[in-house]
Amino acid sequence: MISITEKPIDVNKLLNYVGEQSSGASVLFTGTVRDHNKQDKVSKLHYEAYQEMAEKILQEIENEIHTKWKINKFVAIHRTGTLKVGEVSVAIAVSAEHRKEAFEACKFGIDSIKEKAPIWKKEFAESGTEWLEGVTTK
Amino acid sequence: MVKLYKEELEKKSLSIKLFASLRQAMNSDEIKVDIEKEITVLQMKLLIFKTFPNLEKSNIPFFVAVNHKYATDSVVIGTNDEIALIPPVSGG
Repeated sequence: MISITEKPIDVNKLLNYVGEQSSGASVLFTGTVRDHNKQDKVSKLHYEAYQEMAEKILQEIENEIHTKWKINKFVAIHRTGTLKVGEVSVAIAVSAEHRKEAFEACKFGIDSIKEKAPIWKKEFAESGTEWLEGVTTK
Repeated sequence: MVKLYKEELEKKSLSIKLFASLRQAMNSDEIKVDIEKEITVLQMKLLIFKTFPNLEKSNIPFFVAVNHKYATDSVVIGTNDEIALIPPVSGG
């Protein structure tokens, strides 16, 4: 299940969604708004998405994960709008029979979202505002 | 008659969605260019750079998406396709 939403992300709901009796492992990743970027103090981030395309890309990522790993459930949610420091901007939860698949699928999920999803963030920092370019750190 | 004529004109206009830094650079979430027939993504790029010099001056790199899919320069597009310019993404 995937979603792009303006509403705050409740990570417990994600864990509840993926949790089931046939799973021995659930992995949760959350991306949160950090209070700094290098030396700069950050106050908030504004997220913008090309909604329809971002939803399709996220769905493709989920489909790809199901072909690559034997997992039970996958959920990825990305926020849009203005987020304060500490708020969750993206969350992914994966359940599987064993932890290895769950960890690997979760990492692939967040790496792929950062690489492909048409979502952008504008940083509001002490030195000014700026649209950020993603850094690939696989 | 007038209405039909207007629709005919509108059909020839290719709308291109803009996001994030590109939207801000162009001060608009959409640009339009007139085309007489289907063109390739590469031809569209040359056309928008010619029509909107500020776009090229902004020096912002971008991918082109056609109907919600990343498209290469050789993809053929028409006025019924949904076109968007995708500057470097930074989700997460």
